[in-house]
Amino acid sequence: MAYGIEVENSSGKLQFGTGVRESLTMVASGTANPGDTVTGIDPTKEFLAFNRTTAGFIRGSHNISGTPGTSWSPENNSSSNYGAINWIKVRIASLAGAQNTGYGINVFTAAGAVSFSSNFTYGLDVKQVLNPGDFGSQQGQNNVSPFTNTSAAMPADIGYTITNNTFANYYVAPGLMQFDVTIQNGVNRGGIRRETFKFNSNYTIGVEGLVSYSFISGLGGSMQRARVRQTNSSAILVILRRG
Amino acid sequence: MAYGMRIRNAAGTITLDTTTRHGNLLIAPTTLSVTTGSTNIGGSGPVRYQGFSAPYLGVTGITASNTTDIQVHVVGFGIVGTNLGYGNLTTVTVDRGLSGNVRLIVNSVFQNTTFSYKVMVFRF
Repeated sequence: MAYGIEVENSSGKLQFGTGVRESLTMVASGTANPGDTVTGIDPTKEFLAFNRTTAGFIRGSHNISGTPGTSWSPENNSSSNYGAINWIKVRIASLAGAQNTGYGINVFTAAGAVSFSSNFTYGLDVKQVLNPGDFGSQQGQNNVSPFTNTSAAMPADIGYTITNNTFANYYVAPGLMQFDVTIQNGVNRGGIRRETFKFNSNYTIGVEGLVSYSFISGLGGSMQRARVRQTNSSAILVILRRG
Repeated sequence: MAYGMRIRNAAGTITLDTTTRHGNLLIAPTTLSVTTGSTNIGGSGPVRYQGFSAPYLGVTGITASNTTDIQVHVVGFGIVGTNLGYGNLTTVTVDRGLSGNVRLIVNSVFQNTTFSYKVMVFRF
C-alpha cells in the first residue's frame, strides 16, 4: 500500500481501507412468509441475506427460468418450519446514497467511493466466510442410512456455530447454490434452489439444500423422496447485523 | 472496552468496533460469461460439456489458499442461462489457483450454451 490507511480488527482482518473498493451496507429489511415475495432486488449491486429467529429451514423458490432474478420467495410449504424468514438487502455502500450528514466519519476509496461511513444504519460484521465447494457435497436417498425420509433427521453440513445462544441478527448470504448428483440407479439430477439453510436448535447453521424426488421431473410420481445437498458455488457469508 | 475505537451512528448503533470485520469489495459486480463446448467429457458417466470464463479476472492478492481473506461471491440472483431449474445439470465452480486471477468453470448437460454470472470479490 503506497498511501492511505488500512484499519484491521483485533484478529488482523481488514475493516476498511483506501486501497479497496466499497464495503457493504444494509438498505432494506423485512420478513417473508410462504406466499410472500421480496421484490426489487438489483443483481448488479445487491443481494439478500436471510435469518430466522427460531429453529427451522430457510428455503427459497427454485424456478428462475433462465432470466436474472429480481425477486425471492420462501418455499411455500405448509409446515411452519419454512415461514417467517427475515431478510436484509445488502448493497454496495457507495451506491446506497449520500452519507454526508455534516458529522461523523466517512472513509473514501482512492476512486472517491464510500468505503465506510459512521452513518451506516447498521454495522454489518462478517462473522464467517465459507469457501465455495466446501459444503453440500453429501447426498443420500430415502431410507438409505444415514439418511431418512424426514428433513429433520438428515444431518446438515455445519457452516457456523453461534456462541451467544440466539439467532437474532445472524444472517446468511448464500449466493449461488446448485446441485448435481447421482440419486438412484445412476440417475443424475440437478438444478438450482435458492438459499437453503437450516438453523438448528443448538444454534448451529447448516448448509443444506434438500430436494425431493417428487419435485424432480422425469422420475415419476411413484418415487420415494430422495434428499440431496446443494453445493455452494459461491462464497457464503455469515453476517451479524449490529444494532 | 480496553482499547481501540468504537464508532456509533446518530442512533447509537455501533457501526464499527475493534472486532468488526467488513466485506470490502475488490471487484464490484462483474459479469463473467461461460460458453460450454461440444465435446462430452463425461466419459461413461452422465453427459457433461465444459466451459471456462475468459479472459481471466485479475484479483490482486488472491491465491488458491487464502480463502478466509479473499473470496468470490457468485450472486445467485444474477445468473442468466438456459433451463436452470430442477431437472437440469449445470454446475459452476470458482477456479482461483491462477496466479492472481480467477475464472469460472461450468459443467453442463447443455452444449454450446452460454451462461452468465454476476460475481463480486471481497477482501475480509
